[in-house]
Amino acid sequence: MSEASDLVRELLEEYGTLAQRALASFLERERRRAEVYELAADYPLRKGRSLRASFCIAAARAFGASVDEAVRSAVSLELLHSAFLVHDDIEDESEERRGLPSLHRLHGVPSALNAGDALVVLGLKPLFGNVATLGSRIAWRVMEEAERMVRESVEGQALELRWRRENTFAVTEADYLEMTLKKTCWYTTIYPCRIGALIGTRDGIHLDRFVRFGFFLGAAFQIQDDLLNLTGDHASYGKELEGDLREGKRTLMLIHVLSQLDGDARARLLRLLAQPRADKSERELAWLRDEMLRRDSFGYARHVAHALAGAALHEFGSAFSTAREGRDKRFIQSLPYWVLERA
Amino acid sequence: MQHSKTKRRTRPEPERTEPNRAFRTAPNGAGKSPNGAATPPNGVGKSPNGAGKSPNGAATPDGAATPPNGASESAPNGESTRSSAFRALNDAYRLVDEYLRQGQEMAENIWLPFGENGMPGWPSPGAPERFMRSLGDMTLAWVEVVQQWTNAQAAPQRPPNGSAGPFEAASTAERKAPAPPSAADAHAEPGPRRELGVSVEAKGRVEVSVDLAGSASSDELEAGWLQPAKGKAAPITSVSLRVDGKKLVVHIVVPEKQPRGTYNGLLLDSRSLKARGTVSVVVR
Repeated sequence: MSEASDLVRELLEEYGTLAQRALASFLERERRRAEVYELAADYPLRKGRSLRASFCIAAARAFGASVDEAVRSAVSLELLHSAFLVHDDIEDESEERRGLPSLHRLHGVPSALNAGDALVVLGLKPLFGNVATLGSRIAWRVMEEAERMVRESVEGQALELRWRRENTFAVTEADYLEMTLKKTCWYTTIYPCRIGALIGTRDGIHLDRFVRFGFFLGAAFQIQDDLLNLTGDHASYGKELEGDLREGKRTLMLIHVLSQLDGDARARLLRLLAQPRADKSERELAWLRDEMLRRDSFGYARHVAHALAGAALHEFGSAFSTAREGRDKRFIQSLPYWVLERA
Repeated sequence: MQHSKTKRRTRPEPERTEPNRAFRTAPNGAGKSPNGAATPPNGVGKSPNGAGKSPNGAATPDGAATPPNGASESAPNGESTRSSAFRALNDAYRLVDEYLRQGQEMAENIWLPFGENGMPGWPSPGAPERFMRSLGDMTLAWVEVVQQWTNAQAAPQRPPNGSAGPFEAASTAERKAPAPPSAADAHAEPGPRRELGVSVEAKGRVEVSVDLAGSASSDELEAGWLQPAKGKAAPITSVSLRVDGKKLVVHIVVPEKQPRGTYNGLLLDSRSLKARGTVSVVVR
């Protein structure tokens, strides 16, 4: 592991712990109110990496804010992220999340859906609390950004769901990247940069400068995540391996292998994609995985992830040119390396 | 057209036929750790408006590039894995350029309906600023209302015996009954809570909207004048509150010759004079 990745892990630990404490304290109060909040607190308390919260705090600090000024927005982001995950897991029929059974497997789909809704509402509350630390105007601007982030995310998710519902196989790399921009990048990388800078500069910076950096970084992150789903270690990945294959998720590797196959092999793959998750046989899934290996679809995806991480590194220069030098800025600059090195 | 008789000068053959975007191994040190002297990858992304070009300004890698590292880089259909990856990167640049362009267009269009004559078209200079300022003022008022509300929720409550500490806003389940009003507070006890209604006297066509956090009684609210959102028209001054049965009614009289436009005013807390809500009237 590189020095850059070490720095990322160090700050993820530090800011992640801060955000987790604030999150736990917030949820502790909510959980007493009704059972639904107990369910809602499950995913946020499973202790992920808190990447988004840490990123948000680091960006805010890099632009001059204090941790206190950023932590409510960071907590809100973690709650909204958990809401997305609960709903995603239902939509994808995912079985595991952060090493444990998914919420709908534990409590059934209706209760999990409702808990996801509760998380959305809970995610708004810290943003109202921002009024106390940031004042009305900046708090309002953060809310506007949050609204946009959620909107972009659900639009991206809708794209992916439509592909699966209609069994669309004519998905190109550009389609995949557009979906990733909306579904993953906005809430994982673009939004944390934007609200961090918004809070740190007191709305004194044009936020579109972070879209390129956030997009390239987030897309590299997503591709690496998709790769880990197929090639990673179960213990550290925390989700069921090869779940994406079972779900027929349009990953870069699947798009690549689709473009490489023709004749009977292509027809076989299209038949497999058309099957519901439960009907996909282990034999056919193994065949698809072998084809991906044989056609170097994993190598292709790795190349794209590296190219995007490189592009992110380049865009970092202009996006964060006015940020303060120091650990927080270096942390953000190190993220493209960490994204590729994480297991 | 004249041609030079001298031998045409040509560029030397390049060492590479496709850009090197493996940023870890790039010769310019792009892969260095940010703790060292990091530099961007080899020209990646230099041309934000260069849609369709390879980000380093080289020709697009589609098809023409040679697989650099032998068979392992080559997919069965002949296109190198790297070339495919670079094509995807180009797609990424095109996508984000287009995305930003659309966002800019949307931002430019957002104020078109707010032209000087109220019709779509080119606005007068300064119109966007006025619109944004007006919007900002309104949203600020709304956030202030929220702040009032959250503060009220979070305010320490006096327990019945006056001995326990403040209660947290979120732990309502644990709250005890509120203290009975003391003699000192008696003058501040609000009247009965009522629903809000609106009545308007106007000759022409008007639209009215009223926002208020929670319910209200007539003796804790007062209404301010409605000021024009833009321009120098006279404010609408006849704005009052009256009780009508179970309703608290905001009564507005729009003068016959009131100029067209939007007029905004605040509903104020009588004691603190802080905003509790807004009244907007659009005179057509």
